[in-house]
Amino acid sequence: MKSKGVAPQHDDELIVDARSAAPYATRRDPLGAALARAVDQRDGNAAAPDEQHTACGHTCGCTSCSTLSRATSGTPVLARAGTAVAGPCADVEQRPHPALLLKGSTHSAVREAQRKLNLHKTGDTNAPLVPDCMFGPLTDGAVREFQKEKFGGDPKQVDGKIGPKTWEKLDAIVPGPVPPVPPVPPVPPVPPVALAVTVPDHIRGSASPASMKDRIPPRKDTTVQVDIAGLKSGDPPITLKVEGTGGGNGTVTIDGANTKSMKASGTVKLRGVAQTDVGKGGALKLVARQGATQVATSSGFTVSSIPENYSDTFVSLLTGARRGFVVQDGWKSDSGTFADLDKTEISERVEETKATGCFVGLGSQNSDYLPGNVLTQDTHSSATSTLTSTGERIAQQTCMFKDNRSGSVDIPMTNSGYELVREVTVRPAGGFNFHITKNGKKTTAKGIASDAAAGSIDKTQRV
Amino acid sequence: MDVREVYEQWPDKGPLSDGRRLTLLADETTLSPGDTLRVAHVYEVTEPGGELWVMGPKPVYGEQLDGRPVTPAVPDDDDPLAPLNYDGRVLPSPGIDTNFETTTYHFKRPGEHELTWQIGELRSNTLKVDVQG
Repeated sequence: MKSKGVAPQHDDELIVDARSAAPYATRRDPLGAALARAVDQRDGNAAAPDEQHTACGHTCGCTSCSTLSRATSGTPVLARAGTAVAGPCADVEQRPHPALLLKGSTHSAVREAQRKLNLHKTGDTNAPLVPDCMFGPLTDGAVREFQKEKFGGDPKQVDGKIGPKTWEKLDAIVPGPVPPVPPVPPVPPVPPVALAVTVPDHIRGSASPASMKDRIPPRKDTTVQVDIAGLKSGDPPITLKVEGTGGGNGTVTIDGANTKSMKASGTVKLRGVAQTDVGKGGALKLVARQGATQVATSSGFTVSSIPENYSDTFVSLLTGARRGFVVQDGWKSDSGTFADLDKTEISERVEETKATGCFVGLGSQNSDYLPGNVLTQDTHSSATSTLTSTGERIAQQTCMFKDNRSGSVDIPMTNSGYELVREVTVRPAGGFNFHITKNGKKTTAKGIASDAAAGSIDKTQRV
Repeated sequence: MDVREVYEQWPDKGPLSDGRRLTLLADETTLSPGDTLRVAHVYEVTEPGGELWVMGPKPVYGEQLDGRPVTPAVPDDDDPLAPLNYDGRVLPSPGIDTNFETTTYHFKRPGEHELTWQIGELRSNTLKVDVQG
């Protein structure tokens, strides 16, 4: 019984021999021992066929010979459905082999031979010969080389023709049909690079302590990096804008303008203009758009100035009921304009770290939050009435601040650290010396850490 | 309690004496038995030329409840408004100093009570507390 088989790669109509239980369908060789003389298109060699099908002019079971299997009968042939092949013949393997193949033959059995020659030489059925079923000079050369190897120096056997003896050797390479080449999966097209725009999530002036909310100062530039990838020539540019401005939220320029058009990565300079009102912090965002489409945005930020870089200078010595000195406090606004600190407050922290002798019991102190835009004086003193014996006291001083515009509280002021030292020693001539110093030092006081402030004051008084 | 904010609105500040005054204030003066009364202390200098020694919290001396002292008397060798042993900021007047310890009270029974604070010649307002049953 015969039935229709799997659809072949080309137009051949195949017949499956169900009785054979062979793992492939077969088709009868239409030529037997006849020579194929089809044109070897690859190699440019031509040969005239000595038998030709009326349907296509080919001498074999080629792809055009759709009537072949019906025109012949008997020997089944291998089908390789689903595999793309080169050459005009169907990808089938025939048993028995054609009696003779030689240069000029175009036949599916040539492809089988080409594959086996390839497999023998390189282990790859697809190279170096193109398995195109056309017996050209390259195939001829490969056959001769193969014969030379298999039949030694017998010149009679090295003739470039594939007959039964050569088939025997070829079939020894792979007994049976050559495994089909697995189809090469199609290479997916490389997707175009998607547009990717990045602005910093956190917009922060360089002087912003780590614990405070995102903010930039007024009057000074804050440089931010904007990265743009995948923007093709002809695409609309990326437009940067600080959104949420006005209405007390603060205003900001980008490189001196309200918006900035960009086509490539780069830096821009944000400059706070109007400071944010108290209670409206964090409403500004740096937004990147392409047309109307938002492609990137920062988190909210504020325009506000903050105090930094504390300094002290000596003012006067204290006498009478006190010993010690008065110093003039100073600090800067990171905007460069002191008046911008009108919505900040500063608390001074003093922590005693050592107390002996007459200084036991002084303890630690701090100020309330006091206006950050008013400079004041510090007094470091001890009651003269207590300086009646030796002793030493060491204390650390730092400042923290509130920025009411951004809503940041208890922020360590940058460069506000001091060490305060008092020492009472006996004078050889009688009485005591009271030695007091205040020096900038990186330190921590009541949990507020800071680098060294500016100033070094060193005074000694008689008691 | 934000003492500065409450003080601005406080209707019964202490009497002025030579441009200075003491004030006691609380966020709630009508209580139930067992409630906590927290009393804040403000020293104000209303005229220029004075000083406010704002580091602290400074101990509260001279407070009285119903005429009886409840905190130590002012020591002879110190100034409760300008401590002799001191490190930190001194503000010029006018202004207020709120950096004093907070005193707390619990009243077990209903009744009316009066609190005062006196430092030398400076005497505060009388803070009246009503503990309702």
